[in-house]
Amino acid sequence: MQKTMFFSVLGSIVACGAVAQIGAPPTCCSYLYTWPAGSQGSQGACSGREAEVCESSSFMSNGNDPLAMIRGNTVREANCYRYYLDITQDFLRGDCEVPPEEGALRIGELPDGTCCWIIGGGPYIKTTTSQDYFVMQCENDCPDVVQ
Amino acid sequence: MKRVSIFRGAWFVLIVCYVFPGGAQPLDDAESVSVPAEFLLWCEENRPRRGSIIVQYVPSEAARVDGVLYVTKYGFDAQSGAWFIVGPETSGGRTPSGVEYRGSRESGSTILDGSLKGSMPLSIVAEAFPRAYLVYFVEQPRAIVKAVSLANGGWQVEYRQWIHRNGPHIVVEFDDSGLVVRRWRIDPEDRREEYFSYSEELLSSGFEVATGLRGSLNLVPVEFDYDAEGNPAMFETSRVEGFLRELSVAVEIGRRAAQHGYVRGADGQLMIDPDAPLLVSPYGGSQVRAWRWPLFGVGLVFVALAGVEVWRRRR
Repeated sequence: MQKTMFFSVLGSIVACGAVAQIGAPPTCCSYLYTWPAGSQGSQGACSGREAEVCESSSFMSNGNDPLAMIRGNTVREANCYRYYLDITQDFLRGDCEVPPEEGALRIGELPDGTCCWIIGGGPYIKTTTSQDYFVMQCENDCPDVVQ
Repeated sequence: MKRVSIFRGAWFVLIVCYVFPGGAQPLDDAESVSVPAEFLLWCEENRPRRGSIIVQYVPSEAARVDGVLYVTKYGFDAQSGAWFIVGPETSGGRTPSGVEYRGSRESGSTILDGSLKGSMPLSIVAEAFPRAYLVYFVEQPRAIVKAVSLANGGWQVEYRQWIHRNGPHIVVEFDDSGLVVRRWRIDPEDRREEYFSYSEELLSSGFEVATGLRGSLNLVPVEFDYDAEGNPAMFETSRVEGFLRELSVAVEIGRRAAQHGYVRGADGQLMIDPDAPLLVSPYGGSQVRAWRWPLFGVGLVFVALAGVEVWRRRR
């Protein structure tokens, strides 16, 4: 009887521990950038005078979805930023680490590995929205937030 | 009448001396100026001389994002040439003493840096206050590439946005009173032609305010703070930093309110969404939803263990 109780309690602790382990942040986390169509210039992403960039991270990065590791498909929350430039400012593709000019703002990474920057001196105007975002796989590392 | 003539004559001499000190003056970046002195005289006559203005812009109804009001403030002081643009994310401008600066919500501070010199010209704020161009051209005639008088009494001016680096030239067309009618970039792939329209407020004041800024965001002016005597203190970086904080907090409040079911009414005030369902869903938060299956699993384990125990006792 006592033995049974002991194993019951032990089993519960192990089960809770396993669940807590699954929920431990952040083992499944990454930031992705998407450039939704419709707000870009004639050259596609990183062109024209407006651009929308969605930066998504897995819920796991916030510890909100303990099953994200074992589920293949997962919904993530994306922050989407829309940049509105004036006549003097431009988007420019370039190296991710080296700003094309002093004061340039890096706004995200493009699919080809280059980065998109805003150049020009004046203040840009930016709006932010949050969207749910569905992805098919879970990345394993969590790089720094790119701003 | 005579005083006006003397005044005009004095300006003409000054401008001619400045622009043509020894005939056509080559620039340090190898482009020469061909600015009719008559144009700079015209700028001088039509520019605002004194007074300051701060205008609050919001996106037009159709461009609102998630019901959150993104306010942007534009300011311009005619006498000192100080200006700023500040929104919830960034700020930038020039103080009354001529120091250029930038700031951002993320950095939490304003950068006052001598290396910014020239990257924040007064022409930037002309998108909201087009007569700022007239002050700018008198201040920086080197930026002008070409100025051509038009039959209607206006001018068409091509200028370089950046004096110390390359970039597409911009053409501005003025009417005979000095108001900007349109402007565009000399860039066949990205012309960005803009036709200017003006708010009814402050028309003919010398501080006319443009409406419909920043493409599809379509910023419209909603609040005007005009001081005919000028208030340069409002253009110090400490004030602009304060505006940046204020606008950032307003957006954060708006976003959180939207997440909790509030919407903005016709008067701009936050209110509970009248169309939202009245059903309350207990334990419906995303945290609880995320943990419910693990908790259910743990519960099942306990039930199974209890079942095993009962079965063992009966044996």
